[in-house]
Amino acid sequence: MDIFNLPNKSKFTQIFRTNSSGSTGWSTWSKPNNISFVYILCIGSGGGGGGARGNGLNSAGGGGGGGSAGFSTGIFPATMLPDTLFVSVGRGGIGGAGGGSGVNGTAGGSGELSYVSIIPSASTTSVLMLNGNAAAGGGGGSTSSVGGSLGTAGTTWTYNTSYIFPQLGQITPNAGSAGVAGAAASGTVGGSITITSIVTGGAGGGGVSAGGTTANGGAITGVGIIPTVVGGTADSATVITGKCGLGLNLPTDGYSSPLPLFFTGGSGGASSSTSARTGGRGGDGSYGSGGGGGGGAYSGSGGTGGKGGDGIIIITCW
Amino acid sequence: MVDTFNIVDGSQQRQVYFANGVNSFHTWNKPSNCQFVHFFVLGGGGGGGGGQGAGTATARRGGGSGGSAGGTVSLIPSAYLPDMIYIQVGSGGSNGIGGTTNSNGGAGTLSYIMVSPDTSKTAANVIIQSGDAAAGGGNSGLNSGTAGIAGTIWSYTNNIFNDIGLMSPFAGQAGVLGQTTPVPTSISISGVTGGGAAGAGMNGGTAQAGGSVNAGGYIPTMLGGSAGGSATSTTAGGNGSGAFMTFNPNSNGYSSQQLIFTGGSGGGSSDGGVGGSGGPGAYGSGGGGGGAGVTNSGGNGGRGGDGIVIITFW
Repeated sequence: MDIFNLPNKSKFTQIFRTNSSGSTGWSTWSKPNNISFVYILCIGSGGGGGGARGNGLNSAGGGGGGGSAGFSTGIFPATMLPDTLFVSVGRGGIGGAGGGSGVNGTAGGSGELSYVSIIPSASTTSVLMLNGNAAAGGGGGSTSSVGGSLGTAGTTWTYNTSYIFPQLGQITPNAGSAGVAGAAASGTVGGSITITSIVTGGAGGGGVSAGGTTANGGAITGVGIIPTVVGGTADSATVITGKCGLGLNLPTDGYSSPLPLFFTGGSGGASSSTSARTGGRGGDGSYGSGGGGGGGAYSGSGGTGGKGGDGIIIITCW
Repeated sequence: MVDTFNIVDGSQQRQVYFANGVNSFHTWNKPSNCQFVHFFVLGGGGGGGGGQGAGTATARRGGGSGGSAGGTVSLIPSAYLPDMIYIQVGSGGSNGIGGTTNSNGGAGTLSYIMVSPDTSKTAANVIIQSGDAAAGGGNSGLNSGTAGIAGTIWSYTNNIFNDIGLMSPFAGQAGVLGQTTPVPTSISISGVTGGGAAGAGMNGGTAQAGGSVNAGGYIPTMLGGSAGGSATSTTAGGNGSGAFMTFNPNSNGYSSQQLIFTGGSGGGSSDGGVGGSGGPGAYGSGGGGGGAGVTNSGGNGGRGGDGIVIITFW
């Protein structure tokens, strides 16, 4: 019952985080009183980074970085929407496990799609907003000769085919970006990411040569005001993991921010050489972004890939 | 930003920014309780070229007119924006000079909304820009009177923060070729900015009127400058008119009409006198071309309209 018909401004920006467990899970959004328009940002989850090979005193490539998710924005007149919308937010792909001695790394898991629907269903006749057609792919695991393959980018949502309710609003769909392949098994640095979007793929893990030469993990290379997320450092004395991705200016982080909304993938783990040390773990991706690839290991276990960033849905209205 | 009381500041719901040069930035601070921000970002228009001067009864070209700028309209949730953004508004292109100089009109410059005051305009620091390429100036009559090119549509290439909002970019309109014959030197409006009309040329001893900016509906046509004198007359060609807009954008006023800006009309030619000047362009629009005149007496082109940025928020 709406006795006073007053707007509830605390509901004007609502953030939905992952509630999926392998398929879909549904939360609800209730339309506040007295609003005119609804703006939705729908981001899927990123792919996990690939794990690296662990090798018995031999070469190993780095794991591949996971891809980032596609994302869509849409604006709708509030009167054209039902009082309740159902929201499913994808969970990020798991990082691929590093291999034990003489075992290849495991591929990272794929991300998941995120949905806003008029009923708790992902059918084309129910979906109002979707982040993309295909989820972001996980990075490949490495072998003793090659680095793991890159995780594929989430693809653009073709909302004007088969779907009904996107016709009620103005939609802008975007593709994600691919991760970067892991370094070859030759003591080379993992591939780095060039930022081209508000979500990015993960960087590649570093490789180690047959002679035990190690290398750093790949970085998320900063540009403009966006800082660099450095890769794991090849160092014989410390743990050499990649760094987690950046998440800048989420609305719940506070209204005030010097930076715009932005998320990055994780950087790659460095490779390890002596003392049976485990290769560096890839960094986890921030929202919608890919995990970094694990670093190859000369004598220990290969590094695990970083987890792909969960999806996120932000609904703003006025 | 320290927001102690979280009270809505309703004193300014719209702010307008004007041209400030390629190394200067305005700033906009996100007000309290603002939910959405709407941007109208328009670049500067191209200037019109100067008209050609030569002996009586000879063929002479009018100056080509300047093209209009592209622009981008955008809606962004304020929560996705930083507390402060930086605004650079492009300038209109210089007008080509007639007389003994007979120079081309200058190109306009682009307008930007940025996350930092970056004079290099690094793509990664740009949230919105008016277009990929700025509007071109029209060539002088002596330089074939080539029309100024249209500002091209913003393609987001290499940008990042365009992703945070809805973007609707649009291209500008090309100017018109300056000719020796009476037609076609006019231009018909096709968007919220427009190219200029060309200056009138001479194909013998008969002076001609400058090109008009042809409109439709309630938007008035701006006639080109009138024809000047014959070989035995020093009557100058009439000047074009220009800088038409339905209202002058400002930060406080309420507008009752939709916004539109048009280019300048062309200057009239004169066989024995000075060619008329092209009219200036309104915001983002091209200047009109100068009319042809007697030796060393071609008319000046019109200046391109400056860019403008209008930020509306609620």
